[in-house]
Amino acid sequence: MDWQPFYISFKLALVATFFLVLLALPVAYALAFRNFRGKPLAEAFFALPIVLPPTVLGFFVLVAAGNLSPVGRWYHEIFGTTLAFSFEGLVVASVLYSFPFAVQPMQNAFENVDKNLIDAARTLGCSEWRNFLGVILPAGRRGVVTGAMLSFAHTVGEFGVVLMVGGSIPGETKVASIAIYEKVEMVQYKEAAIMAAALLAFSFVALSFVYYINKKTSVPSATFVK
Amino acid sequence: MKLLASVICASFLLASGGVAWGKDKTIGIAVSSNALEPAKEISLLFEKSSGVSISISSGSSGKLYAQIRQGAPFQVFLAADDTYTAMLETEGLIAADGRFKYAKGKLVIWRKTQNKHAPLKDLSFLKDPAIKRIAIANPDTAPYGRAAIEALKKSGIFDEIKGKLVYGESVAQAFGFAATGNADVSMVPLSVVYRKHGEYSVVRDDYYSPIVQEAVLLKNASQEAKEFFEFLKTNEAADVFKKYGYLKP
Repeated sequence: MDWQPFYISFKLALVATFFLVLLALPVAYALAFRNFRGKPLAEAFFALPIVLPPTVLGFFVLVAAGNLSPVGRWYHEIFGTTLAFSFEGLVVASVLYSFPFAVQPMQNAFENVDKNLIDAARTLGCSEWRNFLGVILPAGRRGVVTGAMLSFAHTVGEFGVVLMVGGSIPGETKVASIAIYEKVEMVQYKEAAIMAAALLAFSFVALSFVYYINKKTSVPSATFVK
Repeated sequence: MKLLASVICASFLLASGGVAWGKDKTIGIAVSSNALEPAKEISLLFEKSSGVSISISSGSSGKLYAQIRQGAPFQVFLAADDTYTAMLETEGLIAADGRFKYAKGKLVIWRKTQNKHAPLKDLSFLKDPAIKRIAIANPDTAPYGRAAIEALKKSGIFDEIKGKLVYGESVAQAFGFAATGNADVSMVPLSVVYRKHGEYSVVRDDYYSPIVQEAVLLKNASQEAKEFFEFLKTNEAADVFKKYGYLKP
């Protein structure tokens, strides 16, 4: 049994989650606290990956990464390689694919932070930045953890997008879901079943762990008032 | 309220339409990606002469095989080689006399843009550093992927170019990788590049073992499906396969 695809899936999920949290925090903050024209459009735009079939999203990425598109040519000029069929390409695709799953829990959590806390911090002379780090982020951290957890889980479970842009290169883009799919195609149902069971067990353990952590960290927000 | 009512009415109409369509004489056939285009054309010919309609599902042979084993409603299966059809026979899933060779495939190497300076003739041009990615179908699951690997090994360049290989889940996807400009060339059956823009060259047939493609009539087949299966053996059908670059098996 070849376990390398699991390692790739795990690595991809970790790296993608890192970037997702980094990118989703400012977006969630803006959507929660800023009012601007076209905000519903922005929200709809960031929610699109929920609605789009993964194959459609994968197809967009594939076309955008090809040498027929400016983005693809630009990437090729700088890095001398194609974005498709590389681990980096999968990271980009995963970030796009899981973005709403990171943003929405964070946005909800930020919106539910007690406005009195934020105003109190403001009257005490806190800058927006300090307010974010000292009040909003700690009070909304459950949403951040949930966003990160969903990003991770969603990336582990990714299939259609990877199938479209990955090229199934062992040790690079062949993730667990693709490996299982190929085992089925090769009529090696026993191996497919073992790998599928392993993925199921891994996902269950990972999710339980995060829910456990999440429960530990969820303290009433009043605790943070000092 | 009015809107809700019309939505409900529309869904009932759609549902009843679906039922009527299901009762209609429709044959479900499963076709390996490489044979999709000729299969469509042959189906049209058959539909015209018989009035029976055909619904085609295409994909890799391995996936279609798995679906058939799980009771997918296909009555005829056009596979990419003879391994899956042999397995179906062993498993007792095909009708009596329900297996025949319909075509022999040709492997080609294709690229989107014509380039006079680097002729496609010999596979050794793949060593050129300007060629970064070579798309083939997954050799573990697709006969044409296996043939591509065989040809690359036989031409003695496999070790040098194996880092450039990327794998499509089917020949159709391997072709798509090159057609979207993500890969420089793709090695696929002639039938896939037929009528597509770009240029191709046929890979020497002594470089890979012959790909004999078999069709099977499945056990649950209706009379109409049997007629379609027989139609595949006619000269009319053979001419279509020939047009798409297949050889006689």
